[in-house]
Amino acid sequence: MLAYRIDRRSGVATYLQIVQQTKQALRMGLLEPGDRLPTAREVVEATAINPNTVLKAYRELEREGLVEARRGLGTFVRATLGTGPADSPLRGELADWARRARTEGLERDDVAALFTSVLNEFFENEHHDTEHHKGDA
Amino acid sequence: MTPDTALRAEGLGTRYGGRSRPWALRDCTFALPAGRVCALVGPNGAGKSTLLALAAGLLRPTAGTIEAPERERLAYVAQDKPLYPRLTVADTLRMGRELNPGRWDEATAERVIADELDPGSLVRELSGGQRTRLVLALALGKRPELLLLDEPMADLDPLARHQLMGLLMADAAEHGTTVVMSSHILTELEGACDHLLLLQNGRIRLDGSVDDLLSGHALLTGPAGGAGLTAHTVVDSRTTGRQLTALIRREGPVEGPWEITDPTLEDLLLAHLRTPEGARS
Amino acid sequence: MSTLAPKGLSWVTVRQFRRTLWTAAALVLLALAGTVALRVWEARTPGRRAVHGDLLDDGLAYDLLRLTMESGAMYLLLLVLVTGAFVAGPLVAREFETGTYRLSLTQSLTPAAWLRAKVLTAGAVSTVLTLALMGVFHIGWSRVSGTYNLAWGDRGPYESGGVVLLAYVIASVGIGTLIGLLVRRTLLAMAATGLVMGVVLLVLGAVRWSFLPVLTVTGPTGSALVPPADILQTDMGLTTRSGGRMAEWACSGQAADAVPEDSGTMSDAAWNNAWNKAYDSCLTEHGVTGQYLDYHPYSHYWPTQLIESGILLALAGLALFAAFRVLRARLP
Repeated sequence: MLAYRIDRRSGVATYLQIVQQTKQALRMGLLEPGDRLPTAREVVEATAINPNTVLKAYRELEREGLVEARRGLGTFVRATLGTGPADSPLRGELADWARRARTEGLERDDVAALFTSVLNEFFENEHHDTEHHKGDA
Repeated sequence: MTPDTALRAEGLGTRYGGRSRPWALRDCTFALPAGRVCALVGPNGAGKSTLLALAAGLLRPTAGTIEAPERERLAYVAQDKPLYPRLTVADTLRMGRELNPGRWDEATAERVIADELDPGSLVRELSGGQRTRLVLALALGKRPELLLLDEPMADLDPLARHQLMGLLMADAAEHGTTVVMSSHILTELEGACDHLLLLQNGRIRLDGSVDDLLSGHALLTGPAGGAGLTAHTVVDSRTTGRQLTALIRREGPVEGPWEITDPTLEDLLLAHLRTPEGARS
Repeated sequence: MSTLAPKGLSWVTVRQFRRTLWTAAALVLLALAGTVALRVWEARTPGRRAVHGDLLDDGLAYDLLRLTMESGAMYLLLLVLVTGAFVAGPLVAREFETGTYRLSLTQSLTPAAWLRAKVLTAGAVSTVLTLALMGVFHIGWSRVSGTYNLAWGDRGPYESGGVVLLAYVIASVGIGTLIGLLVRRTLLAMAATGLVMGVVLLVLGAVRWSFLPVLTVTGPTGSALVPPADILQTDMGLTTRSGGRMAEWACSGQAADAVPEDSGTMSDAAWNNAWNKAYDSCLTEHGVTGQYLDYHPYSHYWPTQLIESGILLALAGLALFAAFRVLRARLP
């Protein structure tokens, strides 16, 4: 069973942390279609966060077609996220790039900042998307 | 009271003693939707305990009205965790059963106790944290629809705090319990609450769902004297050198030379508490 | 578990004060054991008699029994104060002083039901306790009743021997409840209730023999009046021609003034003569025609007990009514 780790100080909205950790588990193959996500009760008992936050995260995952709620049974994984087994070409390219950055003398933080800014540039819409959804919960 | 409102106040006011005494609580009007976990925050002496005691039916309001579920359907834990010192832990749980016939849920109470308390030990020998555990067991064992907790976590170490908060949230998830928790330390409640009631000097300064409050405000940074602020309600602004930081309540899209960030709940509270009452329009 | 076992808040109350209850039960048993032992000892040691049969004294055992009953009657009056103080302090005021009322009153029970359970539990327990102690008292008293300080009308035996003690205890439960609610400080409420119940005991003790009109026997002066047996004498003195009453000692005083004790050379006979003359002339002067004695017959005992009990129960009722009003005014 998936165990969420909530970082209160990260600045990332709690429900987004759940969404991201679920997706991460899907990518890593820790969750497969048919698996049951922990119930809201199980999540909040372990993390002491608000139940509505969990439900909101699950709704978001459901909206993205990754999970489905079956009434009275729980929330189940529907699809997998196929980005990146560890040896995919994309990962290899990113690893090459990171190696180059390091030989050019960039610090870890510099690399992270660079990566985030590029990420924001290309995935701006999605970020906007989640912003929008924050309001209607 | 409508079924989807758990707690409602109209012009609620309380004064301890005669007319010459100051108001402990004044002109409070709010409606808390059922199923919410509400943080009741504010500085010491803001009126948090008074509001909770009124909701619990332990005080008569001096003015206005408060509508809460009847005694059977609410639970209240006072700040000092009152318990009968000469009863044992087992006695105290039996008291919950005796005084709540037809409602008492032994399993829930046992889950809160969680083998942390010896049933035979006397209440007066318990530590602060153990007392908290016992009063929470008593409160949750009653299966309340509305749970009123006055500074519930003050006596707990971080581990027990996390565990008991988890239990509270699990109860809320399972039964849809509405929870109102007071604290003067916001971080204690952040993450657990989806509704906020900010009290200051006996008046309500902020009231609403956390999401609405956060998305309704913005934290702006930019040059001092920058244009576009007047379109919004400035809650609090500070100028450092040539830079201005302002927390605004959005009244539309933000325009002007501003960098916009989302405020945290703490930013929001501090900004409102710094502004003297009534300075807001 | 038996159906008599306390339920709900009564159970909580009994459980809370279990040590007090055990102590009370132990004291009753101790009193019972002591009294029975004294009676057995007394029955086995008859008083010493002279050779011609006259009783010389009653024996140590009898004297001890008498003394014990004299003080025992007073301890039973103390029970009234203790009950009131207990109800006012630990039972009611302490709930407010320590804030535990907020625990009880946010369970599934109204404030009125909460107070009712407390009053009924305290009332039931103190009734049983009082009846038990009255029973113990009767065991000892029945042997020595009627002797000095232990007649049916004497303070102590009067209350402890009849229903009025129970009425006092019930009144102290009611008054204790009210004072506990008003004062809300344990020690202060205990002291105040003890004081109030003490005053009630004193005042009713002072007026109880005015509830019923006294009976009177009259007779000529010069010889002693012979009152009926088994009475409570309330007054005696002289009657005058005009129908008025005079204190018995009024003329002795006047005679003593007229014929001073140290009147020098006078012989004893002459002094006696002079004193009697002065006394007689005082009687004539005031028109004294006879003497009287006011008393209550034993037949007044139960009516007086019932009237006093009625007053006490009315007090208890008023106090409880007020207590529930106070509670309702304070809590929604």
